[in-house]
Amino acid sequence: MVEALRPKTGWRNTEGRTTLPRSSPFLRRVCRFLGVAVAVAALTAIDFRVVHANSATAAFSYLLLILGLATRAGLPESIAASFASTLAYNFFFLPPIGTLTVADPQNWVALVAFLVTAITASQLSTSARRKAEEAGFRQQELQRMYNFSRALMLKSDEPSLANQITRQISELFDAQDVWFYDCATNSVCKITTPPSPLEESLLREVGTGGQIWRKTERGALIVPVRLGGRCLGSLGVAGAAFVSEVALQAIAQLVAIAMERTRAQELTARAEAARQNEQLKSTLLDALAHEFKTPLTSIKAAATTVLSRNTLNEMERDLVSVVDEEADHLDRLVSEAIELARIGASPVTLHREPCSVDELISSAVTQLRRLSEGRVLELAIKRDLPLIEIDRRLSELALRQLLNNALKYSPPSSAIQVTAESQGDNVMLRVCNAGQGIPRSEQDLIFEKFYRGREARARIAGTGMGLTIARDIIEAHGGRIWLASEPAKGVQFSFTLPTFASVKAIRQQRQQTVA
Amino acid sequence: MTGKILVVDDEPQIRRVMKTALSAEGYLIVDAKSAEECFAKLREDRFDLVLLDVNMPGLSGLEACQEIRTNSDIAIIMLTVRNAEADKIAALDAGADDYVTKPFSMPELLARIRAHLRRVPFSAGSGPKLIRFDNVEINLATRHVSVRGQDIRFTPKEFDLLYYFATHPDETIPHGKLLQAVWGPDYGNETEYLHVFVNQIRKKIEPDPANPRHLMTELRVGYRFCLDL
Repeated sequence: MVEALRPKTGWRNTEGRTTLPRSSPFLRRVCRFLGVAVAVAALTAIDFRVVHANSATAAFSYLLLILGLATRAGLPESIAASFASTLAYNFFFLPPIGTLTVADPQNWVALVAFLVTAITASQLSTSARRKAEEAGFRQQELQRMYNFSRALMLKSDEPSLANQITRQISELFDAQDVWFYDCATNSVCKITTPPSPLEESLLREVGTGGQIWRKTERGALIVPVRLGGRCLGSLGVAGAAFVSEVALQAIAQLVAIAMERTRAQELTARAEAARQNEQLKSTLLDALAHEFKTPLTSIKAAATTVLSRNTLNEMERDLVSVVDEEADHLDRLVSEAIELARIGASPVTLHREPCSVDELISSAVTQLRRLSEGRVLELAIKRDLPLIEIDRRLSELALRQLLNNALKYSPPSSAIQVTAESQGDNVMLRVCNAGQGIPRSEQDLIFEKFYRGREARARIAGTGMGLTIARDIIEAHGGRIWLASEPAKGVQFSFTLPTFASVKAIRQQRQQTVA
Repeated sequence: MTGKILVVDDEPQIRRVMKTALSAEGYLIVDAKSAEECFAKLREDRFDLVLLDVNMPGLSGLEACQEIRTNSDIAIIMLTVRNAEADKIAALDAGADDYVTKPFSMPELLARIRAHLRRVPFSAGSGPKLIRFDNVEINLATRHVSVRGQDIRFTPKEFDLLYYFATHPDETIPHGKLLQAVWGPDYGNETEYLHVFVNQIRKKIEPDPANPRHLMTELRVGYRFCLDL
């Protein structure tokens, strides 16, 4: 179908001029002029020898020939024919016949009128022909563009949209070179016939700069692919029979829409996959929690029922207390392991919301009320702290882990300090206890999964997961956690959480970069 | 202690331990292993309280709770392994009066059961028996509420809360005080309970629950019940 639409006379470059094929153009032109001379000579011979036409009949027959040539061949040929006909008309049909002189002044008028009519008719008819050709060309271009847009809508076997775009343009618009540069992947996909006038650096320049690049060699042209002022890439074409600059810009627009559509589809698919994954993980972990906690519930309920009765002797009470405490321990282990699995198995999904530091601390402290009963909590929260943007549930969990840690690893009579202050784009919170401290050699290991301090391992119940959970949560928020400790002077855990304003600024910056 | 309790849990060991422990405390225990069995038992007999497991095969505890609430004001305590605030709110929204996280200690569960079996001992004798405002009529003696002449059903805890508000008009009542007065001395931090119950009361008595005129929130402090507008 593409071959059938191709014009037989020659090919058009991007400026829309008709030229002859590049093979022996001079010879072709000479042949055409010779053809014109032969046609004029033949007509003269017929008029003069066969028909014996008078001067008026001869003039009309010449005009008919010139009009025919203007419609078929072109302006230079018809003008050449006009002059040749004028000479022949003068020589053979205007007295004195057989000479190029004109005796009667009235015949001068006839001769000049003939020449002017011939040239004007040539011009008009050539221009009409050119317009008709132009219209035909536009129609073909539109047809191809329509086919292209349809092809882009359909699913293709190509590995990527870039491959699909280049192949479709090359086939539908009969282009020798089609290069496509995608800003997002910074890669160029091409179909090329060497030596190509296009270069990858030129495509990148147009793709990022947004200016059209033109070169007369093989009608090479590079246009930016833009959507709403956003540069998505660039499209370069050379040696194409059917692509004008305007058409290529329209093609680039279609490409931009297709890219945007594909991107949106990919995003939706990815979000859906992530959601399903999250849901599956959550369901599995819930089932696991249920399986572990159901027997624990029976054990705990049975042990506490026995303990609450006053019929036990000291040994029995002691032994049932062990069952009760170990059930609690096992419950904590299961809860923390499941929380760790929820957080650690994939990137933590945060449900961020603005929150005040006061709210975060008071909520975490309230939830620990039972554990911290009888303990002194000293809060030093700076006034006018900015709002933070956090996942409340997870941030509370992280802070609770640190508070729990501070409570467990310090003497019951000592106080726990919690401070909060502004620090640039973050708010820094600190949880300090007056415990034994952590030896320098263990400080780097303390956030590792299941690691427990050598001293504490035997004395204090714990799972070795609390600090890992806290670290993972804080790092997922873009914060940092660290500790300072000196022997016998306690431990200071510090961490940062981003302010609402800074998260908003980063988000805006990201949007601008994408735009 | 007396009272008839229906224990609904699909785990036989949990039903067994609950039956033994609660019977020893003097309660009459009937158990059911599914929501469907629970409905049948509730139809056959009168109970004072339901202990309902959230995670059951078939109809879940939340759905069962909603179903029970469509025609009964019985006290419901939900039992579940999940401890997130959203889960607690989901249980309360479904119509539960309370929520206990597994594994729990038996004294804790017993305290909660006691809290739900007793009626709030407000001094109904000393104050007015009938409170009227804005087309709403609260009969403190018969525990009936009517709005625009129509009887509106309140669960026991909802009524207790409304009762407490109605007998303490125009006072800002802190969360902790409300919880201890209505739920019992073991409570104090469960502000999400108040949030859910206050919303439910608003839906029943306020002309526009989104912009309440009587049951006002005092941000971060508590609630205030305005009788006179």
